[in-house]
Amino acid sequence: MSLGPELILAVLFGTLLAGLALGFPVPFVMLGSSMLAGLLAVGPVFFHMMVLRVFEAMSSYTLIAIVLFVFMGLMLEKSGAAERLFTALHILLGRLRGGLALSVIAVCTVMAAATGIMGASVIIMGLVALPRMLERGYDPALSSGTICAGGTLGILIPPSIMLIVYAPMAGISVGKLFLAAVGPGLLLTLLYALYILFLSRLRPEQSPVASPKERTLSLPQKLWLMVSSLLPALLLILAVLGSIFFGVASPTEAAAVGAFFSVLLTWAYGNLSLGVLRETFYQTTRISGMILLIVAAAFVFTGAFMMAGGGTLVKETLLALPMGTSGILLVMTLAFFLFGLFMEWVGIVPVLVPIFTPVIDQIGVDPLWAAMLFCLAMQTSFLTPPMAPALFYLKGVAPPGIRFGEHIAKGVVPFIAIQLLAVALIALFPDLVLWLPGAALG
Amino acid sequence: MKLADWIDRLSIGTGKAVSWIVPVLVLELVYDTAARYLFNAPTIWSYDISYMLYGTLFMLGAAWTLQQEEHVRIDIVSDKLSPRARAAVDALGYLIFFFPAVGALVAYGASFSLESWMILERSGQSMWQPPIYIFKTVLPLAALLLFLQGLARFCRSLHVLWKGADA
Repeated sequence: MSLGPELILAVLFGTLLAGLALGFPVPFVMLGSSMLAGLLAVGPVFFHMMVLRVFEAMSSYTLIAIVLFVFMGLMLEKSGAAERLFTALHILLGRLRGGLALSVIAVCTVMAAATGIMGASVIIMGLVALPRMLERGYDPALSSGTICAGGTLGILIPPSIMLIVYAPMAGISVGKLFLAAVGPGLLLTLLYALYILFLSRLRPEQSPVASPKERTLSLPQKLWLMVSSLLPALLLILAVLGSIFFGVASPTEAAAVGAFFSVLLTWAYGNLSLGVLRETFYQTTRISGMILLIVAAAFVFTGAFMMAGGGTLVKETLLALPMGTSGILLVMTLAFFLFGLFMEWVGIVPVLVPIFTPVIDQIGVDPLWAAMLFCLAMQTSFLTPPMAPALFYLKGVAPPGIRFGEHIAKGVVPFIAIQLLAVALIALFPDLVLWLPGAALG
Repeated sequence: MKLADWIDRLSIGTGKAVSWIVPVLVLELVYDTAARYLFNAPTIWSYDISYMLYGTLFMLGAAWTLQQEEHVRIDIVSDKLSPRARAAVDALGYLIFFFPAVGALVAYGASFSLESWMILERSGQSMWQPPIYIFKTVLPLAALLLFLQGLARFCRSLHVLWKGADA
């Protein structure tokens, strides 16, 4: 076997891209191309590596949190908590121009802090909020864009399953990465809200206020509505994130407790039945199989990549770029964005993070800061077709009058611009990321 | 298509059965967390039991995910193909990517777990040191289940390829 690393890596990525482009399932393409390249690089020793890496993924304590947060997200989706919260905010903010859109952003932020998945918020808001926005005369593009953008907060704001996969691959603790994501997540929420307020002044006809007959509740009724809808969610968030942030519990333990309480909350809201519970277990199994098989396959892929000498090659190539530290960082961020145009995060993070981590160490950039730049770049690309999961989810549940190109894709454009602004702000002010972990952990 | 239907039922049945690991995993971890933080008496078994439950869950559930066609794929190109062309591409994908790799996982996974059975290996991950050979057997079993489910899908693709979509 005297093939050079360049050739083997060309085989590895060539077959990977060909397989993915033809639409074959991601984990099997990863395993197949790893095997081809691995055998070319080292021969049958590859098989031992393959089995060991799959077993490593099977026996990871950290990754257990994925299953638990997936369950918690699915359970909260069925709990009715988001619907209640939206109804409450929508009544409270009825007088405010743009209030409905702000309610969507607020609910999405709360849901993002309570769960780790993106689909749930988009689907719930698409079913609950979108019809009410259209009914009141909101601009369809603004409405869809707000829901898609708000929904993608779920993969950034902790507890995010994307960050749980990211952390061990970059050699960072999950708790620390969660802390780092709080600043960028809230920054996005803030920018979205400012944009909506600004737009509702500029084009009032796009976001009308509620009619007087919609505002009939007395103050105590409003207060009770607020307390019963917001308090349980906030307590859940506080319990899960608080115990992770303050180092009281590991993310896995906190996720289990959160999963347990999400069942209680569903019961308290009167939406729990054995059928609902069983369906949630089933969905959790299939989604866990989907995510974690890719993680296992990506472990193998990275192994093959390293065996073929790819680590050294990428490192040397990137370090030889004549553009300095920020240029190298920009190239890597761009790579995450470009991959994100075609693939969901679960196919990207396990491949690119192990490859780039040695480079980040070498150029002396804070890995938390780099992580947030990469995650924001990916998050932006999730709003950008061809592969735009948030948009597809919304199209799946939106009323028939909502068109993909004219409303949804057009509606997210301003939010993509806001995302890019956030990437730029974080690139210019690393403290937006680093302040909180620094203050909390010293 | 008798065989393919039988394999479908096997994947679904296994998937539904392992789904009941989810509540066990949640309750077991909640119990351990409560024991640790409320009563200052952590269990010695929770760490190992947790990853074994988790590993078993997603590995044995993955065939069900495949049966339901829920594994992530990029369908920009394949959505534009005719059913026949898509069946041809799928069949090719199984031959090139799926069968060699998943087959190797079955074979090498089997010898991996067999070696563990021979020495009745124990886990070194915690103080408890439970037997690990049963858990290691999950790997080749799950790979075998996936392989079978892949075979079922492959047969169906060939069927569409030969007879057209509505056959």
